Amino acid sequence: MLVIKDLTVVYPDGTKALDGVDMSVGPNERVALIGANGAGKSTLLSAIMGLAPTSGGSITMDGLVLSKSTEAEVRRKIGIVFQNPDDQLFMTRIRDDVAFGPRNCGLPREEIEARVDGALGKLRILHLKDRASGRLSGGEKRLAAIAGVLAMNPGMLLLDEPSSFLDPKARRNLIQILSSLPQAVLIATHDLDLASRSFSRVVVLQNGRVRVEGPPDDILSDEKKLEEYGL
Amino acid sequence: MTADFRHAAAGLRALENLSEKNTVIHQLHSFVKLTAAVVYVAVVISFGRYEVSRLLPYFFYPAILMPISETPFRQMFYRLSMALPFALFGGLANIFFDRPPMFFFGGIVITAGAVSFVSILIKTVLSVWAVLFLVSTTTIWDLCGQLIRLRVPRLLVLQLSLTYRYISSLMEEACAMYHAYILRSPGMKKGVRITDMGQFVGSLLLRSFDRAWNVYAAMKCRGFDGSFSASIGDKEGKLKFSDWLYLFSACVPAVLLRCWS
Ligand SMILES: Nc1ncnc2c1ncn2[C@@H]1O[C@H](COP(=O)(O)OP(=O)(O)O)[C@@H](O)[C@H]1O
Ligand SMILES: [Mg+2]
Repeated sequence: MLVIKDLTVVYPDGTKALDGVDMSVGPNERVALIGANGAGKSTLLSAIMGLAPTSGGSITMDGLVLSKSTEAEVRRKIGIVFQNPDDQLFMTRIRDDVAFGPRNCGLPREEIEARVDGALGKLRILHLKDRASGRLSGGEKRLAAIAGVLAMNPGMLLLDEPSSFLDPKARRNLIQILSSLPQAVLIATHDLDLASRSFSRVVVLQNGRVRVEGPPDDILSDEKKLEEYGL
Repeated sequence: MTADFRHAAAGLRALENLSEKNTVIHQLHSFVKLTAAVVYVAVVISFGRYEVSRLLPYFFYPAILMPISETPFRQMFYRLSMALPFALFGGLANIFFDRPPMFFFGGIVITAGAVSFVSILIKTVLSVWAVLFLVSTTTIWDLCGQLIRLRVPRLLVLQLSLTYRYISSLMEEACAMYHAYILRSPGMKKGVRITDMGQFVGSLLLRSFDRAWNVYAAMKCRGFDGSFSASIGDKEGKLKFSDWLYLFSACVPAVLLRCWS
């Protein structure tokens, strides 16, 4: 269970990216964070991982309050997939990249192998195991990046704009795969269709604040309101 | 028109991408490949400056190993040719300063300088080939793992691997920016106008710095603690029979050819 209370993030240049955000994600809950460009979605996801300059409020994961001393432990519970898979895939071969996280956890070799195969299998990309990451398509890179995070068995998965750079087919495939994951999932997106398909709750961010939250059907059907939120 | 620039930017990746192949050579333990390359280069550069003919047998290595590892000859020649200018500069000086005649060939005087010029060229080609061959059959991460095993300080290895990653992302950024620039500068055939250079380089640095930060953040989020202790190294296991076989059949002839005259 992730609980965020009164979170404020101010960047060094003075930009107030988040302004008193309150929200939570229950165990195995699937939440979509939507909002226009610059609303603060990416900032919120990085703040949860302890990567943003928070200046107020708190983030608690499974009872553990995020701080400098607990961030490593929080990062073992939560996995994040960044918007640009090129930032994430940095080992040459996909199998090495997916193994990177489990290796850092100090797992034995057989367990690492099993984790790699398991994660690639879940995303249906076992055939990419020995390929070089530089040569994959946008959709394949995205799935490989997700596999690298899943291999760490996080209790919760954060994804930033997972449907960007994807063609319609790859996007449908991704939606299917995301719906099949057992973990709690929090995504940031401005893809309203994606948000309405496999998420149980939608949180609308605007100018660093939560404007409204609720079931996707209620929120995404009111076009006038959406316009007001900049969507 | 931007083809050669793109070539250079893609160069690093392309070479690295070769290491995804799965030939007998690729499957060898990176320790034996690294050791064989070091021995080969050491032997090649240890020859005297006039010993051209004794260097020739060492061309058997590329001739045999490249087909086995399915390394494209063209790509390798292209990379090699980038190193040649350095050898030419070093070697040319010899032609001018080392004038005594060494032997006559069809009525033409061959000076000692000309001979040592050729031997410098050959040594350069062979040793650069050995390094390129190593990189194209072994991933940088396996190599880093080996360096750690060989007791190279971890901090140095970490630095090396991050620099490597940083350079490829720097080159990719440069390539993307260059395209955006050239597409908006009709009439320009090539290059960045000198008046735009400052801005170009400035924003290139900012962008690649951003990317490097993102990469590092992504690594930390997957449990990277900055030590590389568990992330790489020691994952390849023990040497197999085929590894020993390669080590001996690569090193022994190289050393024998050197000692035996
Ligand atoms: N590293 C940064 N430094 C300064 N300002 C930033 C930085 N990252 C984002 N911002 C600003 O914070 C605000 C929220 O950005 P972001 O979280 O990326 O929004 P979103 O992901 O919803 O598009 C924007 O106004 C953006 O310009
Ligand atoms: Mg964003």
